[in-house]
Amino acid sequence: MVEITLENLTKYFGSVKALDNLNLKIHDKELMVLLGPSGCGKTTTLRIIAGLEKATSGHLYFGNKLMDKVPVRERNVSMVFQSYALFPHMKVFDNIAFPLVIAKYPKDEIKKRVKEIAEILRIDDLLDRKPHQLSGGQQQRVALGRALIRKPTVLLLDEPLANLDAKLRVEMRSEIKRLQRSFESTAIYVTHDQVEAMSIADRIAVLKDGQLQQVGTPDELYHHPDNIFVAGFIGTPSMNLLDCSFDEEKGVLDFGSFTLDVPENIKPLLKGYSEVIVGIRARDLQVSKEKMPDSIPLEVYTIEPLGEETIIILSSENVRIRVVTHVEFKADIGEKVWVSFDLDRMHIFDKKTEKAIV
Amino acid sequence: MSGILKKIGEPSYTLLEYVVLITLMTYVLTPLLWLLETSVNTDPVPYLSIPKGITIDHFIAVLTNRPITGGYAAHPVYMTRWIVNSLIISGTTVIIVVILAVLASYSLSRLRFRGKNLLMTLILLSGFMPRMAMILPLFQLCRTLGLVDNLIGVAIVVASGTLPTQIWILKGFFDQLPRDLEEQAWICGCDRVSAVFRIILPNVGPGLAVVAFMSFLSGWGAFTIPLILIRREYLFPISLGIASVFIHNPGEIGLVVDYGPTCALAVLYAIPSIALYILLRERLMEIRLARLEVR
Repeated sequence: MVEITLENLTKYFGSVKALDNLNLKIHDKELMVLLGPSGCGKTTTLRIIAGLEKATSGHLYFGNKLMDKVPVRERNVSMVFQSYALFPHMKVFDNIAFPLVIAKYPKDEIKKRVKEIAEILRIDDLLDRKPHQLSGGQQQRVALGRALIRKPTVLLLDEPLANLDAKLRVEMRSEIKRLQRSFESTAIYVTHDQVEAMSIADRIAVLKDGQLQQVGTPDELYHHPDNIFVAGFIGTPSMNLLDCSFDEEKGVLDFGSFTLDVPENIKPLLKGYSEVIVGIRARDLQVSKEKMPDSIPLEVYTIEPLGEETIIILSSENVRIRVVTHVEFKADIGEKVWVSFDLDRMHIFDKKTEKAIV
Repeated sequence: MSGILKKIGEPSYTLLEYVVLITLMTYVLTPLLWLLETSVNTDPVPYLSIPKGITIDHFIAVLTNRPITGGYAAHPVYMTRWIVNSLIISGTTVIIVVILAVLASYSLSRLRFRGKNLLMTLILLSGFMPRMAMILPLFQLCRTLGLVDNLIGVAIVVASGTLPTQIWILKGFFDQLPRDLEEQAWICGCDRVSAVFRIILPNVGPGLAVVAFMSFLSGWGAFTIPLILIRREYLFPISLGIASVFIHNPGEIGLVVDYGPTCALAVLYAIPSIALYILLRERLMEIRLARLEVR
């Protein structure tokens, strides 16, 4: 129930820079996902917001209030740790009630609210158990219950689903989203799983090596990645990124073993670039056994049937391209097939800066 | 039982195993049996004998503060008083050690500060140091502070001897406890102190039990420290009392030892260790599980 502003946050651990001048605004009631590979600074960011870690420099605001010096316990944030951090010596009831007990709520009120939240989370029949008697999914719900019971201003979730099995993970992520909506908390969710991020987020902030790469809705990140890292990180299977050079005179992209004509509207944008990287999603490629207009011949390298669809990896001398195709497309390894590029859906990045040009 | 029977059935080294075991048991248990026998013998003698009759009178004498004269001793001794003294020393040692070990090991486990490694090394070293090596300064210090002939003084010195080891043991338990738990407590609104009391300590129960157990035993078994610091016979702990009876009757060199009550006292002296072990056994076993239990 508050807007969170991170202003020039930098964090060193000894001489290791964990966060590099991070600027980010998290809107009121938004579910923001911090996404990135391990060691990218996402958990550090979360811990700074919680107050468990002090930033080396920079500021943190909740609304207009500067939070840098506010102790953890006065921030009214809740956090769900990856390990859940349920108190092993307390029953489920006492675990959930704990924040209210510390805040000295009257007993009846505590009882009422624990019961309420336990019903919402469907753990009302587990209140007398100890944490070690619960399954992973149940422990997760208890941790959520404890986080939500005092209606926190900010809800922090640190890889909350990482310890669950795949099926439960899918189930819980929609549940978390639903809960966050109904509790109207501003939520920050850390994960390294881009599918999870895409499915749950209002907006995603992609981090790498402590630096913010891009912030945007899942849609924006998928369709308009700002740089090569985001392009390669978001989407399954990950985007094909192909080295090539731009021949300004002929107006073609030269991949070595083949060339592609550059559409007229893109040509002026590429002016002055020579080494570029072309990114194209596996689903934006068409593969056929017959020659199509503007298609190029490639050899089948491997085939991965996934049920609904099949991923085919194609190769020529120096390029390897992943294509998603319908499962009915059959081909043998080593067979020659034709691939056509949907040039309107192509991304072109500067090889030097790794930033998007088109 | 079925395990033993099965073993006997096997034509293995069973016989040899039993010979070795019985030898070991004889070695360990003979003094204990001897002690028990003498303590209940109606006519206690200083050698292993078949008791003519069995009595618990010696125990009653020891526990009811009956004066024990030991034949020609210069004056009677009151063994009950020695038991109380030992309990005071051990109890105080436990209190001192547990409080200080909790504070120190929590700080060493959780706080970051300059010189921490050096401090930990020093603590470890001082734990290895035999107390007797420092007895002169310790004695002078106690005299200056008025802690000679003072049971609390003995406890303080004994505690200082066992504390370093206990700090290290307890630190291990704190280290094992995930930081997440404590951080979660802060997030839930606890300050550092209440997080320790509400979350940390309840989860290092086995560690606290071990520390309490070991510091009790170090107070209960203390001999040299009281030997130096305690002069008056009525302030003797059991260890010193038993020794004094056998060396010479208190107050005067004499040759007559009252074996019955003395052996009864010795038996009583052994009980707390065994009782505490039985009481804490489950907790002690938990230590191995502690690592598994969290999460």
